[in-house]
Amino acid sequence: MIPTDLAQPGLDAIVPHDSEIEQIIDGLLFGEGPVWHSAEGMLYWVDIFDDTIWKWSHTTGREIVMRPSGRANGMTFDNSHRLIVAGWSSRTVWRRERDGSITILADEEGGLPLNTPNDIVTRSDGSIYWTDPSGGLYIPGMSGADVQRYRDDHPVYRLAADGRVTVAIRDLPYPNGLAFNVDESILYVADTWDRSVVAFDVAEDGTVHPKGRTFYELVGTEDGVADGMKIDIEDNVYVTGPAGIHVLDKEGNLLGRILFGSQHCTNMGWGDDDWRTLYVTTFQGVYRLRLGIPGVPVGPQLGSPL
Amino acid sequence: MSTITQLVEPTGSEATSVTWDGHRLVFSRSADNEIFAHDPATGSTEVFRRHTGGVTGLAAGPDGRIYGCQTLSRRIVMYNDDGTTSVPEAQLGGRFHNFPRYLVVDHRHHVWFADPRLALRSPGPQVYPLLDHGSVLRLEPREGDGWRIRRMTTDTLHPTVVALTADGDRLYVVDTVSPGQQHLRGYSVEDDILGPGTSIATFQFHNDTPAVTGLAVTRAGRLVLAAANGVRIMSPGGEDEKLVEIGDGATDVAISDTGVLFVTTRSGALLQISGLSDA
Repeated sequence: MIPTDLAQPGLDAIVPHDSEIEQIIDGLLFGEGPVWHSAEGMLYWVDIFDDTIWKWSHTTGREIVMRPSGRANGMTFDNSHRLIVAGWSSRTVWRRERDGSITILADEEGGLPLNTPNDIVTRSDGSIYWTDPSGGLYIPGMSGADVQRYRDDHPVYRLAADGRVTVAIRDLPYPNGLAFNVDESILYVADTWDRSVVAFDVAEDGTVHPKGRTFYELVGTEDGVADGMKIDIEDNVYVTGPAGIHVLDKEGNLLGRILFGSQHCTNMGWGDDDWRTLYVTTFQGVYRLRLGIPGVPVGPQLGSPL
Repeated sequence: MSTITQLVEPTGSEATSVTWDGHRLVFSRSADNEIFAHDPATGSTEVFRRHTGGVTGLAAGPDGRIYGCQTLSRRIVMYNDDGTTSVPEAQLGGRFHNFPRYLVVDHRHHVWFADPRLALRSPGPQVYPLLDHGSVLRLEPREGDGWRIRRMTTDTLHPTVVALTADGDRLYVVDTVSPGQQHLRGYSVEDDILGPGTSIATFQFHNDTPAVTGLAVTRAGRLVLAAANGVRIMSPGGEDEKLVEIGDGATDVAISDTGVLFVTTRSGALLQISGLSDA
């Protein structure tokens, strides 16, 4: 049985009584970036401090994808199943091509180097959005070639399909995880310093309205911060926070918290053939739990070009 | 008779550390995450670095390059002329060191720094335990590439200030050995080996504030200490010779190539003190 608290009506449909939290990976230093490769049937994730991108399946176990990785952090797949990476210490957003080569997609905006790209998401039009707080510059052991911060702000960026990088959101204290709702009309951003999730309206062309609205304020004083975030196909929102993962309905009401005990949750990603398994990274491991509602798939969808 | 000239006005934010880079005074305001450069010849002050990550101690190398203690990030940083900041990364026996607070760079580009064990929390997961000792450590550039680190003192508990004589043959360390009490010790330096530590002076904390937070050595070997009540001048043996009172307290001291003494204060001022023999 998955431990929960603060449960409200609606949580039962999401967290089945007969489901369990299962640890599949241990021994990590700083797990992050979980994303499911639907064609391979494998989970990709990173150990930031070990500077490694890993992948795993229950039949083959785990293997190294890339080491060193420039302290890769958040990851996703584009419509061609190429890995898109928020490069924390490399201070770049980059793509891993199918032959294993690396293409830098962005390393500056307005003539200023990026801070430390943290988490990343794609939109169906091929554009890429990522958060860029500066925290990665100051963590022990995270020293890249240049640890100077140049920007005053902690933006959320948009990389359009034409390769142009623009600031989508400028005014958040510390943007971290981010996710679109199902029809991509709302971009949710988890703000670590503000202990909240902020919702921004998104126009059809991908432009983000600069003024957001507070969608949810974290509940609890246990260990855990607003970090990784994902959405299911009914627009429920899942965000890390004190005690584990906070499950919200599409109005921002807390449906309950999924409790991870002493584990500090960092991020999550949907996976398996039916996208009903939530893979969760913590500082020290990777966990999975089967849930009642499928998540929004990642990577090529039916009808998208390969 | 000494005179005090205010070079930079106080801002209310403590000026934490100061060093002379051969042409300018470079000083930090840790709480503001800023470092400034002041040119005494022109009187101009400009921003040297912003977003410093709370850098505390500053020191110039023999080529004028500035080094800093990024205490919470548990590392020394180097400020490059092109505006970048790099990290001379090294571990001691495979472990990260503690929380560097104060440093000095010798003529061989060796970076000596005080590395106390402090009850601080670094950003990110707390996966790197502190060393089991608080020592003076030394970063040394390797031939070719990279850095290595070496433990220099084995008798210190909570070192917070270090200084070298001009010829590098003597090291001074301010060490907090018991609650509210600091000891100043001196060590001979010969062939990279320290001689036994010699106790020079003892200081009591002033209203929970460390009595001494900065130290420089004159060419004649006198000790110039930034103290809670001002600037203290001591003989190499530890005899008090003079106190220049500074109302809000001195935080650090630097001596220029021509022997001019400069002081930072708790309220954020940068001062010049003239009229001291052998400053």
